[in-house]
Amino acid sequence: MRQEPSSKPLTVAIVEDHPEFRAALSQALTHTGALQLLEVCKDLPAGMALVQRECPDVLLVDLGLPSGSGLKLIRSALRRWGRRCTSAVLTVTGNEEHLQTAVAAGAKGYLFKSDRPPDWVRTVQLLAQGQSPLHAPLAQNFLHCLQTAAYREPVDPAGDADDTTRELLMYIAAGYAPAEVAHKQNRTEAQIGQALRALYDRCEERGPDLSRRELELLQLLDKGYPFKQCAELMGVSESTTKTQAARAYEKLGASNLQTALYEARQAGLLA
Amino acid sequence: MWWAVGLVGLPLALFSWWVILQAPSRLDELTRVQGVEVWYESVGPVVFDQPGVTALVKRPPDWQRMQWAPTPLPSFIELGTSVDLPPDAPKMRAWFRIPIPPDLPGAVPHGRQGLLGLRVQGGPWSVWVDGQLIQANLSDWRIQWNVPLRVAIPRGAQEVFLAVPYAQPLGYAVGSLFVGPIDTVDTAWQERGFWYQTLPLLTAGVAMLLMLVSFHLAWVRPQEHLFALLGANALVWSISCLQYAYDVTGQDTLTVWFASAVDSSITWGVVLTCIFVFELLGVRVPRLRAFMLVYAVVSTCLTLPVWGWKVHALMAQQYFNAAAYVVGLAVVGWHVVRRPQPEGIAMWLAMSIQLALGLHTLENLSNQTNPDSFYSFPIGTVVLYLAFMYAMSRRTVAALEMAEHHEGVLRARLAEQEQRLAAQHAQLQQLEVQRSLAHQHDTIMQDLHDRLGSNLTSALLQARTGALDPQETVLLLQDLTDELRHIGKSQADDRRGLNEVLAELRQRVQHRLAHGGIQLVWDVDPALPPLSGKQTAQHLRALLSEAIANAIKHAQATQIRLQAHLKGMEVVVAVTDNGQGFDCDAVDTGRGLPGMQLRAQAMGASLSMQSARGRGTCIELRLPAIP
Repeated sequence: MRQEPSSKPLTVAIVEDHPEFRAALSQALTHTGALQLLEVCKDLPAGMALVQRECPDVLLVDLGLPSGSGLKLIRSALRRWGRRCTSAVLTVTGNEEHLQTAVAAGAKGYLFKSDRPPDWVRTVQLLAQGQSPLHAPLAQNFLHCLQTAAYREPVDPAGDADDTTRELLMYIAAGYAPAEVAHKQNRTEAQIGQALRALYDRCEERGPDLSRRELELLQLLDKGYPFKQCAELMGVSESTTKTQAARAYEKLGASNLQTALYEARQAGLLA
Repeated sequence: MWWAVGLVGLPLALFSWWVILQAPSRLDELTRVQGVEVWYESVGPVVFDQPGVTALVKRPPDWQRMQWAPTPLPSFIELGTSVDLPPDAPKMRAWFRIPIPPDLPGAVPHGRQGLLGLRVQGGPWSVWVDGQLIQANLSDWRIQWNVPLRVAIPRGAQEVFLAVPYAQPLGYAVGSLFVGPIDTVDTAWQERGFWYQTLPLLTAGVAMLLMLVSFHLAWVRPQEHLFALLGANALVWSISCLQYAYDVTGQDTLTVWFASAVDSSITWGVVLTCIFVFELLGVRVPRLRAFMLVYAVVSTCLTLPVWGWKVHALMAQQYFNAAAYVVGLAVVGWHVVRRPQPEGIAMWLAMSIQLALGLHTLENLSNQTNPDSFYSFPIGTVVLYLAFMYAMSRRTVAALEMAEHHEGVLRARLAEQEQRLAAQHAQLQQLEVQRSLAHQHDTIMQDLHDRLGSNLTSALLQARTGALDPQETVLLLQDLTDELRHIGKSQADDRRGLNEVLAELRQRVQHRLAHGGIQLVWDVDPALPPLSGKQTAQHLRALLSEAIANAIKHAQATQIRLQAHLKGMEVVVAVTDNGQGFDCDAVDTGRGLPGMQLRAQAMGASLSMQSARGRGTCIELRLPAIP
């Protein structure tokens, strides 16, 4: 998906409950003709259905939906489509705590509702090209995130790449715009955007890595089928399903079916 | 309770079975000797020490002078309650002529015959046949008073002579005699030996083990007097039982002391048993206990052989013991009646049985009136010890149960405490959350007032006067929306970095600058130190906003440069524009310069301004840095 010179227009989906903003955003995005609006949803259930059905290039989600948190939607999209669908948060305040949670869930950017319409279009296009925006408060959070990650997984022992990244974050935290940092670091603006995307990826918290069969089993169990029937439906023995379930529980950090289903729902694995 | 009855009853039942059924049926297989005759021989001035007695036993009588008189068996001279034994007391020998039934002509021969005597008390007996000594129990006669007599009769002998030496006042006792096949005699002899010798020795062994264990427990837990008392009881009984095992024949001095120790051990046994039971049942009779101890000490001392009083007061001592035991038993009985407990009843029963059996032994054997009687005192002791064991095990079980109960109570109390603590903790947490919420609320209200309130008010006032064109309205609303980003920051102002404050400032002014077509050159060291002072962030924000606003409004600049660098111990923040500048001396106060000065002072910073017409303006602030 990295900046394919495709004739197909970028597809965008919006999940937003504020009617005026929804209308303004839809209008702004379709105005140029470069973007194709797949669907506009106003609540979580519609959004969930959309995510299961379609794979938009960019999914714009309001976190504070009346029917639940948009985080669930972001997780679900990540789970369903992986990197093919880029999620971003629609925000008024740009509150870095909320954004950080969304980033952990898999969001790759955000879009200020108070920005001007051309900025929206540009942000969406950059998101689709594998770049991400970053403002000062979130940069501060990322710095912290980077420090803790360094303890956990020393990515680059030489630390050169990390040093550049830390410098980038410090510039942005000090109020520099990405374009200015590009100039300072002798890089292109797109490179900066991609470096920021890499940071988003690093701050993403990996959800439980369930196999397809394990997920299938959990979905059946969620519907209330007993193990015996699950085994019949999946065409395996009952003991196999129990082994799979035990492995799934372990991955979800759960000790029984109820908590496992809860965790799976939290992680957006189940509807 | 059934345990108690069983422990007391089982040994008694076994013993009764032997006494009532087994022993008589065994004796029925033999023939009771009839037509015994007796002759008392005066043996002259013989000293009853070991050499004297040995010589006497082996000395044949004057067979011609024997004058026989018929006598029934048992034959005895009773031992008085208190017997004086002067050195010159007359010494005698009691001779019994025992006819042996001959083989009847034509009948099946008897085979080898044996003679069984149920008991011979007094001196060492000797058996003579045809003028020859054939057997004597000289070697250990002092501990053999309880051993039945067993003699193999030479074939063809028609009569057997049995001699028992004695000192005149002390007397003797010879029990019934039986004749029969030697193997039957042997069996009967061994069976009696088991009950009279082996069993007391076994109990002595058990008593010694018990003594070791009890003394160890007493050593480990000296506060529990029961263990020491039980150990002392076992020790006394062990000493008492030595009479069945230890032969002191040949050592006359030791013999005398040994006899004294064995006699006194009964006294101590009685006293210690009573005290042990008092302690066990919690009977509070300190004076009686003290009196009993004094009695035991006095009795022991009075009967010591050192006095050389030559008073043989065995019976008197044992009657006193019985009296002391009756008193103890009565006290225990009274206690049990008032507070019936299984161990109390068991102890009382066992004590009663021991007393009864002890009196039985005293009245039949010790006073030499019934040498045929069975020897029952050891069984009483066995019963008593079983009762002791029963009571101690009940005690132990009760202690364990008590400990478990206490543990349960403690655990319940602990759980309760934990629950209470958890509740308190939850309450505290709730309070903390409430407090933090209240604080957050205050911060947000303050921010709303400071940031949105003033802007809204000015917008409202301008809108009323009609001074707002649409573009200005958009800018104002844009400002207001942007302000939302900074409301309710979780971090307090005084803990934020200078970079953060500057970044926020940039975000805040960027729309205005873009609208005015002014380029902002950002030249900020990204590693500036944090701010000091509570109000510094607020002052700095206001001061720089003012400076930038002035540049936008008055300077007609196309570029504004914001620089912030660390220089030595100061942070230098400069706002420079390329506008028209002004004459510093002629400037009016409308540009808020005095306010900026005040804010700089409040921050502990210095503010300087340089401007000249046509050459822009530079406002420089020097802030002390936190190292």
